[in-house]
Amino acid sequence: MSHIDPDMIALIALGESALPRDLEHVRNCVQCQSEVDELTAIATSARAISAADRPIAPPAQVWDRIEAELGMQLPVVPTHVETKTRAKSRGMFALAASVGVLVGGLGTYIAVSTDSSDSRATIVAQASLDPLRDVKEPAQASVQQINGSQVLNVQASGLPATDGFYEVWLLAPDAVSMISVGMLDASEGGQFPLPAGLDLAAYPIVDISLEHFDGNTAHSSDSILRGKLTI
Amino acid sequence: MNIMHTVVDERSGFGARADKAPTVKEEADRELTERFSLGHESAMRDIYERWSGLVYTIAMRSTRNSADASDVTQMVFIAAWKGRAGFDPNSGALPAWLLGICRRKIADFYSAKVRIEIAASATVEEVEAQSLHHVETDSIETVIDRVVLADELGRLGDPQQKIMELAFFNDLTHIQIASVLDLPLGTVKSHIRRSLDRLKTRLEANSVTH
Repeated sequence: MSHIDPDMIALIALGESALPRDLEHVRNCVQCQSEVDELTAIATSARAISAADRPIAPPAQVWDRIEAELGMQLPVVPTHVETKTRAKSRGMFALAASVGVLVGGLGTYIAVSTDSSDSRATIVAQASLDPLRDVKEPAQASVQQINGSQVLNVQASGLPATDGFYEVWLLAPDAVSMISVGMLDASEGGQFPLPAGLDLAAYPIVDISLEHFDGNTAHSSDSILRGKLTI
Repeated sequence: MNIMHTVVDERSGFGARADKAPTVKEEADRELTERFSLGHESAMRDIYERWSGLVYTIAMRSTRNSADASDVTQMVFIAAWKGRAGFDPNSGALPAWLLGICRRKIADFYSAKVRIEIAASATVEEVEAQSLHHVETDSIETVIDRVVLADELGRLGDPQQKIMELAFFNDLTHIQIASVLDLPLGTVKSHIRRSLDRLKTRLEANSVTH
């Protein structure tokens, strides 16, 4: 049995008219029919392409964030005794690295952390926490660099009285990975020292949840306030 | 809904072009894949440049939000780099592997979103209404197929790209296309066949899962 011309199969798949004997052959030939079907499926999909399906590059910050995060995997730069002036300029580098400009953030961060002579408190990140429920006013959060350590400050007022308690979390952008940073006093807010080496860029979302005394340490999924840190 | 079939035929796909040397682009992709799997850091940037548009646009079509699409894109490439030991260059193409990660990250995004909605919603009814809304959007496979096809269409080069756009989007016959572009009929016919085969091969490569 001689099959019909492959080019003709493509034209039939595109819906062009064909000779009756070619169409008859396709109907009776499993192989030609399946080729027509496959190419028809491609053509149908392609015809559904809209302008928004044409690939466009992501915003430039996406690469910066990837570079910053993968920079954390690079070997840690050995730290050594440095003068205060030098440490300050390193501080600037650490800040730059945390917003994704430089690779190797962990190394420079450690250089800052080990320098205890600099007692200035600098705000390195802040967030406005939007109410998700039950709360009318947004809360504020900021991360300060104090004596080489990072501290999260949460200022929240007007949290409703509860027979449970409020817990503060740092979430990864996927809202799946998270770190508990402590219990929040509903009337005063609180200060939470963050573990050394914590990469805020990897856990940039501050979340406050309502928890119950149920012995379950996992997030209750009952978030009250949430906001993303601007680093 | 994936439109791929598993029928193998010697007249379609790469088989039809077995007598030809790999194109410059295919050679470049192969070399890039090799550097990536060997863990060369320069390959990460190249891979991002080559495929981030594809991943971002799929995420954008799926999440309909530039910030979410950016987050998904970031997670896909970071997972790819960290998980590169799990990539076997012999068992499939790198873009197919990346798209596999992309599918999972978009699924993760939706399950996290549902959790957040449950946390944020006052009533169960609200969550159900929002879940119903998700069902109305295109399935991830349909989105991937279309974006991948749009990508490949843009890589066909001319006159193939022009020919296929006239055939797909302007519904011109090969005779009309030949006349519009002032090309021989036989040339148009064989370009149509080869271009359809190339689009099909590209889609098949992407449907390979790891």
